[in-house]
Amino acid sequence: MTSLATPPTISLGGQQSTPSVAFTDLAAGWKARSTWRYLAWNDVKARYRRTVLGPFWSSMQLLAFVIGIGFLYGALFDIPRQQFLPFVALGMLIWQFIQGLVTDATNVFTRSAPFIRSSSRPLSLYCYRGTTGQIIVFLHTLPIVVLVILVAGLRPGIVGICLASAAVLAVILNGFFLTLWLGPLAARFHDVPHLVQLFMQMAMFITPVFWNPASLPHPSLFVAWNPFAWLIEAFREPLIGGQLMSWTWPAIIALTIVNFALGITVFGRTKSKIAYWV
Amino acid sequence: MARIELKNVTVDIPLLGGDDSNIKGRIVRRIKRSPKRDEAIRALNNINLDLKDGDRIGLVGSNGAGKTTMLRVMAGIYTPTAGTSFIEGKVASLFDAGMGIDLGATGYDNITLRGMFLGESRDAMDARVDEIADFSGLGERLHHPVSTYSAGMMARLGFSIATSLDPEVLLVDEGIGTADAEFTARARERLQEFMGRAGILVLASHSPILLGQFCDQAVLLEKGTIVERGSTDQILALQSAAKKR
Repeated sequence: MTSLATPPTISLGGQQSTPSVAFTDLAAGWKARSTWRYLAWNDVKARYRRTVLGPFWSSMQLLAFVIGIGFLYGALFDIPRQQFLPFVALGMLIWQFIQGLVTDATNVFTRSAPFIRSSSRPLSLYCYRGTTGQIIVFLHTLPIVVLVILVAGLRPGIVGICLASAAVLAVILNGFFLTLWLGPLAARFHDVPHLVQLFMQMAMFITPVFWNPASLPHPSLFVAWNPFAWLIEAFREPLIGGQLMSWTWPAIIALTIVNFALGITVFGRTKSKIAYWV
Repeated sequence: MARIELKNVTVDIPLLGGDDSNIKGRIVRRIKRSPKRDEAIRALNNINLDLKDGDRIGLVGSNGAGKTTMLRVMAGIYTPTAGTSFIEGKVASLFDAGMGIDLGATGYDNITLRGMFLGESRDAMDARVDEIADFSGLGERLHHPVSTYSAGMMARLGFSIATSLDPEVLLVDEGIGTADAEFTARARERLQEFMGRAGILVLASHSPILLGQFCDQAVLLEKGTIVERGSTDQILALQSAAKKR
């Protein structure tokens, strides 16, 4: 039996400011690392139970998509595959990660209802759980990146790899902050997950995932004002040796700050109600 | 040192099933500038209760009186709508044996998981997993996902995990009767020992026998309010008198 120096105490109700509620919970959730790491692994294991490939199925999906679209576009537009394939593969890879994070953010709490309704653990634990699960799946698609880089003979260099990693970090942070406000919203209003799914489907087509914004006749608002486009470019361009817009990173940082503020506000205000909603 | 302190606790539970509570309803209300709020039921009304080490208390009341809500507040799951709750000590709750069980995970994984949720470390659970597995009597089936278990097996698992811990505050909500008879005999013994270890015991039950066995005092709840607090016999007598009326 583990003995605790100070007995755990819970104090609920009364006046507490929104940010302090959120930060206290986030810190307590972070302390419970072993719990959500375990849960996240369990989630991944459960999803791929009794499969031969396990999480590597998501890499296969990606590979099939890239090969398919590579042939189609190659035949349709006569684009040199040497350039096009790494572009699509890397774009699709990071897009899958983003999409997974966004759609999962809508059900971090509803999915964890049996736990929420039977224990007083910090609620951010379920946010960490959701994001970690997506990261685990993403890590299994990384071999594809290496494969693409080698086959296409790309030379991103150390700087390129660092920049791309920074973009992945930005995606993870934003994905996590998203769970803090989209999660409670979806727990309260059950239309939200459906709405988000619909939105993400549209977003995939208007975001330069598998088409090059440079090939548009005019500079497009869909690219300039699209946070998904910023994140994808920030990841892909350094790897394929392209140039980033000067404002891409400032825009991503602004996005992260807004997302963080929104997350803290909504989570802090709804934390005490989530157990009643799920 | 265990302690539970409820001060002027009021709990409103939102009713989210109605048309009025979805996004459309919200927007319509905003447009109409309707002052109407989300529908809610008052499950607890201005509850004051102070429990200290050694207290063995029964919650008595008819269905919907607020027993389960009160246990959830004491477990730190529900934040009071008004008033404050303060809980000191490691809390374990035995509400419904299947609670907090991940259906997709195996029995073994669930043992570790549930323990970690109740505040145990991974290592502490790894050390105890065999003893719990043994008591559950589920054998090889523990390697399979819980979704393949019968209701009785699931109850056994949940019960075995929960009662293996050493909580300072123990909250029990009836419903211990789902497991089969052979298991129940052993279970009763274990439960007795388990309840004896806890610093504070709160037991919500309709059974005078169970209450008489484990609790020396009780609280009578009616429509979310504490009507009376006293010795178990006194409260049970009061309740049966209220029923006859």
